[in-house]
Amino acid sequence: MRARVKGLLATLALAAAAALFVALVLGPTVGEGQTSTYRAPRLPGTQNPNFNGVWQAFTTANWDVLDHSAQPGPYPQLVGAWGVQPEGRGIVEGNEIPYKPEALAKRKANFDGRLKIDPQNFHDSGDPEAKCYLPGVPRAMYSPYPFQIVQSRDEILMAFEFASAHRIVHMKDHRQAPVPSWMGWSNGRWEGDTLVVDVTSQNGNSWFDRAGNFASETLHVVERYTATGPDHLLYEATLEDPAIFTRPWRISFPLYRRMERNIELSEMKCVDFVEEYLYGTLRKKTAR
Amino acid sequence: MRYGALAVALAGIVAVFSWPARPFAAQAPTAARSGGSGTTRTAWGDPDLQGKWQTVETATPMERPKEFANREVLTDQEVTARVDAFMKRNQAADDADADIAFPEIKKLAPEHEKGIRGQEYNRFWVDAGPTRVRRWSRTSLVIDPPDGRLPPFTPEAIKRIEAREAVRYQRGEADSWEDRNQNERCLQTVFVRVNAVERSILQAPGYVAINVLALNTNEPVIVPLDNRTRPSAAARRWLGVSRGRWDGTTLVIETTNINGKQDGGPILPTRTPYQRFLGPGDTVRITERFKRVDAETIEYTYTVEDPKTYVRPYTVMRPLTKADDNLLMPENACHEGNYGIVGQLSAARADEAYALNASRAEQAGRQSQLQEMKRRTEEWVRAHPQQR
Repeated sequence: MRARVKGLLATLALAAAAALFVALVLGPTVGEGQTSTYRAPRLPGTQNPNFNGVWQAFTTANWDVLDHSAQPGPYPQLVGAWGVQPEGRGIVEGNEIPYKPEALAKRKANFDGRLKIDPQNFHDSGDPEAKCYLPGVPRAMYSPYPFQIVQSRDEILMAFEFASAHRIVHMKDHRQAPVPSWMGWSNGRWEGDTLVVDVTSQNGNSWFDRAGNFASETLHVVERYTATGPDHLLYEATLEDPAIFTRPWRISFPLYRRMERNIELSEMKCVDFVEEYLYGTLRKKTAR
Repeated sequence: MRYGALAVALAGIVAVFSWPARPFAAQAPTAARSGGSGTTRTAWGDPDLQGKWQTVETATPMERPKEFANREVLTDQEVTARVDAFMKRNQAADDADADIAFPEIKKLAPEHEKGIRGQEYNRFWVDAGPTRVRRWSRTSLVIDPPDGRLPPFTPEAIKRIEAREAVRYQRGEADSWEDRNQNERCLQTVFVRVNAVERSILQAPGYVAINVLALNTNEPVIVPLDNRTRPSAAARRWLGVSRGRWDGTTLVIETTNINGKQDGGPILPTRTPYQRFLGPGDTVRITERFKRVDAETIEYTYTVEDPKTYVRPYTVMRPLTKADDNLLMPENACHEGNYGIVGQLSAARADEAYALNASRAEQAGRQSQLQEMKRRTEEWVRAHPQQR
């Protein structure tokens, strides 16, 4: 009897040691700086969490990624309270963007000219969002419109309502971007249940917000998407651009699942809404 | 005995707790063969259409040439002749030494323009490339009506077009951006979408997402498959609202709620308006069918119904062929790079200013003569105070 108990205890001890070994060595790697205990359902046919759905951020970062007060906004005499900038907490860790001094001057110039269209230089003047230009990454992630994730076999599509922008996150056969683009080139991989996306080759023309915060074509963004519940993702991103910033900096905010029944993306093709804004000075004076 | 069972139970519990989510790279949903039909299916059981698909170049015209009357298919020799003629036309345009189009331009061109021939200059934008033509025996892409031609317009549609032409007659070619066509303004319509050159199809449970590449277009159309309701007619889109379903293994997508600007909006565009849809678009229903006939081919058709514009519906067939997974579908940043519209508008303003200045320059040349005429008149008036 005692021998059998000894044998039983030995078996249990061995099993426990094995379990400990397995948990420590082969356990999931959780997101840097964040521990999520939620385990999302898997995408059928894969071992990966299912991020399919329509998502939206609910910050005011599109106005300003740093802390900001309420402001009357542009042209209050024309649009009244419609155009108000709300107060908001920023999404930047430490509430500071580490600009180099010359870049800080450009940020101020951006802000001062954010709604000025230079007829000699349409493409480089003013906030790109106001011109219905593609928002780039990360601005697309916190622009005040929903986006949809279609998570498929080897690619994850993110389709944004604003300007029909979209990104493809390449999950296999990672390669370098063939050319720069507005939405950049995204290579993704899983670290446990966190989707890690490496974004390069943006063209340096998009801004981070309406306040004129910006980077250049050497911007490198590393994003992390982690499910913290059935209807919430945590979005974190590290941004670095040695041409503009003195060090990397981080942003984070939740993404909320849009819960309306039959939710789908609407269409926000704003090109023909901004033709007057962009080209009005070039129209024949007597034409409609 | 009890201790043995307990040990097994405890070991089992420990094993469950120690089985973590392993850090796998994304794994492909297991493609399962459906019993008997041979169709590849996704892990959740939908027919699998995923991948990159190119619209095959078959040298087939949209409408059936009149000489083929009611014939749906060509003979092998006729197909060969059609392919040869197509390749010859393309080669002439791409051949830098062929002076077929504009020999006189070559003689006069400055050095840096000597490589440009008239047709080649335009074909650069049409992206012909080294064309691979696939043999296909249909006489036209239009497969219904049976005569292979687009149906006649309704009388209402003709009246509408004539009214738009009357407005067009009063306007210059670039008075406003509204005088330019949808391509030049970087606007996407549902008709551009169904005539896509390339498509990338992704699937997720309950959805098919089709990334459409066409001229000035690259964007996803995400189609729900759950038969959900549509918004009312008050909500309309350039690309409409799409709803999908499976008809056997064929994907059927129906699109309505299209906006009324498909023909360019309030002003008939000055350039090639008849190459585009000529109705407003708000009464259009488009039905697309993706039927996978083998691993490399999808038979794609779209049917346009618009009782306001055409007397009956019509259907177009365009075979799609599987393309390499690495096929690059470049970003559509047409609007962001639209220097063309700026050039067109400012050139029109410059033309008007040139004409105005030419007249004024001529007028300025007459001023000294006018001053002399005036001086003589005043002199006569002073000399003849009673006779005026």
